[in-house]
Amino acid sequence: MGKSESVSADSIRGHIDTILLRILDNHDSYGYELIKRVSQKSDGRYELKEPSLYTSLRRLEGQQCIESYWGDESQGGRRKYYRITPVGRSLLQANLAAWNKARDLIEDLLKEET
Amino acid sequence: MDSLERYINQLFARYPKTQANLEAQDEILSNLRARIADDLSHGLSEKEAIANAKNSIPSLDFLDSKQRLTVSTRAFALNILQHVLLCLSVAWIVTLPFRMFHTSGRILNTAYLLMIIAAGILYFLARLLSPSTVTRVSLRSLQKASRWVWILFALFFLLDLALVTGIRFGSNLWFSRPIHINGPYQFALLAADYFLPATFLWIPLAVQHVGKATLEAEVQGDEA
Repeated sequence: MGKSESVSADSIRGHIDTILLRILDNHDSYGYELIKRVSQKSDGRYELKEPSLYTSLRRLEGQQCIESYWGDESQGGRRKYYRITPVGRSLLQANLAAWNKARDLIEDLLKEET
Repeated sequence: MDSLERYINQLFARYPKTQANLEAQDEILSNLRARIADDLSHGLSEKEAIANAKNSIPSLDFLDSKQRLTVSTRAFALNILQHVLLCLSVAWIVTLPFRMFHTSGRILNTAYLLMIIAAGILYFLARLLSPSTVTRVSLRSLQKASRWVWILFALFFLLDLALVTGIRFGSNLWFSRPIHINGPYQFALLAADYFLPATFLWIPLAVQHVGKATLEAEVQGDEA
């Protein structure tokens, strides 16, 4: 992994909760499907690792932003699905607003000096 | 897939079988199997796919480190008190013979009887608890506490052992005189000095049982 790739992994780490909420806002999903979706959305530039995924899911569930339910038994064993809650939706909107504000601010601060 | 399941079981082996851990095990396994199926459909060999799956979960560090769970207070208390009553009863029985000839033995035996009565009262009080009351317990904290109690007991016992041996045989050892035990009565007194403090073993045993009681009394709880 090149240095530039590891830098972006660090800067994304703080936003994983919001990223997952965004995906779940669209439709319910389970662990590996979330990882795949993140990989697809980033065109392979960012791979969400299982430990980060589970840490984030537990945190979100603890904050009652998502709830889990078990799906049907497939040959791979029972799957744990997650759905977003109203609390989760509000947090998603709040985080998106905060991110847009921060991004605009940083862009302004990084403008070339004249 | 067997080697994958074995790998995950191995990772979870050192964790207590709480509801949260059992569910985590199922979830992790099913997600890894989905990953493997995906890799296989992209042309990877089974060996490579399984290796990828194992590499994606190198450890269980992301699990709740405090290992908290919710227990029914009533079931928890009753379980512990039952075990304590059992330990104290055994301690009372084994110290009973010493009532006849050993002062400390008599005192200790009476003390155990009083403890049994106290534990019995607590037991009947615990039965009055509502079945729906719950308590949050941290298994990691219990494990630490249990370890400390064992260490303290070991220290106490070794110290006491040294003290008794020093008092009884100090001059023998110092002056290199052989030890004479003049008959069964003196032997019994000596045995009592060593044996009676050992009955305090019930304390670390009872504390260690608390962890087991927690698992037996676990109920479905809200996430903290």
